Amino acid sequence: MPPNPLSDARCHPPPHRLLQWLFALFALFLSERTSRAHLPTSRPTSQKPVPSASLHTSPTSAPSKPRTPLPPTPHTPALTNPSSTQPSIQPIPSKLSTSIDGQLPKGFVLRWGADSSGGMPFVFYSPQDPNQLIGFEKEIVDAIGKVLGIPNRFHRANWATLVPDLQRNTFDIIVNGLEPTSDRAKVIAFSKPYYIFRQQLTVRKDETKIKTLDDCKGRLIGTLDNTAASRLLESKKLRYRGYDDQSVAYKDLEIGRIDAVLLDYPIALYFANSPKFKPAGPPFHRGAYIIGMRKQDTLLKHKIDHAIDRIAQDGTLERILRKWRLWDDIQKELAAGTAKYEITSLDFSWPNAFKRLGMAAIITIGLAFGAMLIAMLLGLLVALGQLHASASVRVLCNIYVEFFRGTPILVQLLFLYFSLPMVGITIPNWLTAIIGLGLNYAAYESQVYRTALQSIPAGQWEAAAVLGMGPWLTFRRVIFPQAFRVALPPMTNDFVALFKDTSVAFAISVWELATAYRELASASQKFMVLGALTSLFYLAMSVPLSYLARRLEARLQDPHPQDNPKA
Amino acid sequence: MIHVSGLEKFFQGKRVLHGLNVDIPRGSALGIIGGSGSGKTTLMRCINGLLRFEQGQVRCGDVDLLPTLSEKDYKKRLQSLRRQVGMVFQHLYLFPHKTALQNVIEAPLYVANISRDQAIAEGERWLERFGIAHTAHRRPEALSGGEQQRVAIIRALMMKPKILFLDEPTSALDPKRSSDVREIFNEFVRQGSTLVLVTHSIRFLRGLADQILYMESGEVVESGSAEQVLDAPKDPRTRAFLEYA
Ligand SMILES: Nc1ncnc2c1ncn2[C@@H]1O[C@H](COP(=O)(O)OP(=O)(O)O)[C@@H](O)[C@H]1O
Ligand SMILES: [Mg+2]
Repeated sequence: MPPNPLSDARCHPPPHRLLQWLFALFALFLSERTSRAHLPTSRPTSQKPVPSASLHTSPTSAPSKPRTPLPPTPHTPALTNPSSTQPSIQPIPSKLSTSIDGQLPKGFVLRWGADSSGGMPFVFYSPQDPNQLIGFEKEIVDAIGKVLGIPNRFHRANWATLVPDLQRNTFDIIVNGLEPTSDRAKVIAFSKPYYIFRQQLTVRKDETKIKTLDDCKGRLIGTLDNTAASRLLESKKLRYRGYDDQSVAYKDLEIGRIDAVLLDYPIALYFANSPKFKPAGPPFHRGAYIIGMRKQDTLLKHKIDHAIDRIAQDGTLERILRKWRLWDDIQKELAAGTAKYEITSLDFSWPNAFKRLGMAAIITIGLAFGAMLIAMLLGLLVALGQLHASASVRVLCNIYVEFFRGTPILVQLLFLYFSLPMVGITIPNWLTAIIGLGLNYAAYESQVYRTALQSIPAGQWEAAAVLGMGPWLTFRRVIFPQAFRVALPPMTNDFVALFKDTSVAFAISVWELATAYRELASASQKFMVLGALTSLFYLAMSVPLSYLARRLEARLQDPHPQDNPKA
Repeated sequence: MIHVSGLEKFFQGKRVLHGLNVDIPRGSALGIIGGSGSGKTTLMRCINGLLRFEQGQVRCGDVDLLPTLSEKDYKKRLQSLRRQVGMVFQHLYLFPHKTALQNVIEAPLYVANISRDQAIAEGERWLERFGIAHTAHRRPEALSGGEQQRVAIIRALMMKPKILFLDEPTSALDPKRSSDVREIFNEFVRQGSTLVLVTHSIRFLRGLADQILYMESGEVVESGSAEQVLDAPKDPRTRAFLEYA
């Protein structure tokens, strides 16, 4: 029973997705090595293909079992990935590619991976009972397991790294609204489709102009990054904003930041289910959801395809899809076996990737400099407030510092993003990001400046006072320059940190370097090389900065400044 | 020029100045001597407005400082006091981020608002006169203690104060330099300015100070003309102190 969709729309806030992401990235450094290492062994090494079991239909799927007595890794159905604790060079023997008699290994548990934070109706935790996993894909997996007579186990994963997770044997199949793309086809195998999806354009209730996608020329459309929808928009050269989280996209549509949202029908069905929205025209532009598997697991692929056929034909699939209100006439093709789909291709090219990263780097630089400017000015004010203002101002400054230091910047940014429009302020996302980062870093800067100012001996104030210099002149000419010298190293540190922290701007859909990396990497699966390249871009920004800061520091400390006595 | 009566100063409830009375006529130099911790620095800071005091009254130039003044009134009076008074601190407090020349022209430029060229010319003339022209473009950390002391003195002199307070200004100078500096101070006093000077160098005081004030534990033990106090001290405590000096 699908519960009220909108009640769920906000139950997976993006903050933890960032953490997931960082975690996943970290895991990737191991995974790519692992997958590289075991890929060669997965190719048929014996010259004579072992006659495939009768159920094998695909000519290329003839599995080969190099009967090297590798220690049979027990198929540990644990939540932690067993391979991560093993030396990563060791090839992972996949029992699923063996096919003595077309039987899955005894005690086999079908481990399936999906991103449960993606929300309904796919795979998600019930809002009523957070321990209960529900969703139409969960039911399909159950049905497949039933056909095959095997139990299944869910692995909570991150959408962006599903494919590498699969390759490193974290789970055996991906069931998560996965579309067949040419880049994925290079690294994983696809099952038969279990759902034919189409795109749904959603607009605000009061929208009169937009009836079809073609009416969106010159308007801004929201969608999820690296999806069939985003590729369609790209091919049509329509202006769009890529989101990380569909609920944010619909929220932005509601408050008028964007004019329409284009997403898979199942998503629209649940997330645009509000009187504030209406569909603009019927769903269109079909695609297919398939199950992803390791290429060498030919037996498993065969079994899964067989099971999909079976549940499509015996009405199980229809019952599940109907229950989730996803059934329509095209789905009949699934049972008829006539469901056709194209493998969409992503045009990835290195020059293009380089160019996009370069453009994103420029935006990152802009974000960092803008935010640092705010942080420095505001930080100085706060520091002065803490040191020299009246008691009440001092308290306010302390609260400011504690608040912005003590809460996650991501939460602050999202809060700002959603609260500004409520008080009638509509500014571009990048400006929101600059202000949010600036406010956050001002808290840190203020403490740097406060300690720097406090480090200047009181005698300096007195020396200036007896020369007749007033407080402001003393501050400007005597105290500040000395404090600046003290504050410069920690400030440089913070600036470099800020460069990296600009990546949180992706949460409010600002396209910057980290976003560009995610986008390119998840589209091309080239996590490692692109990751290295992106790191180089970050270094290319922070290293010169540190260098310049050190030069300036040295100049400020030079006892023999060679220039003229200009003060 | 300076008139102090019944001055009492407390630090955290502890009395460090016990009802002092001091008179310094215009165009004269007062030398304050006394052991460490006797209250010499504190006395000077109370007179030139860097410290507020609890009892008594101070007249410095044409400004009256009273403990009863509100913070606001006090600050207002300080503004006119600052225009007449200069000070060289025991610990100098040079501006470490500025060169010697920049240190001495800072206030003329931004407080007296004279032209940069004029300030530089004047500053260089003083540096020359004190024999430290070569340090003009160095920051204080690259100067010797004696050079630093002279920069601090020049910094004060550049503002042409009517009253100049000096807290052990020549402690790092050799006898020759010290007598050069004394000559400059003498000239300063001859021109009608007033000098208040704390020092441990009796030699330096001779031929400069008109009056001497000997302090012990926040009290004036003996005061009088330089010849009288230095050569014929009446109080045995003064005599004992001078034996070591
Ligand atoms: N800021 C202060 N707080 C507390 N006590 C002080 C402070 N400044 C000076 N004193 C005390 O006041 C007394 C006189 O000090 P000071 O005037 O510096 O002596 P002098 O300059 O004669 O060596 C000393 O006992 C010293 O410890
Ligand atoms: Mg002293």
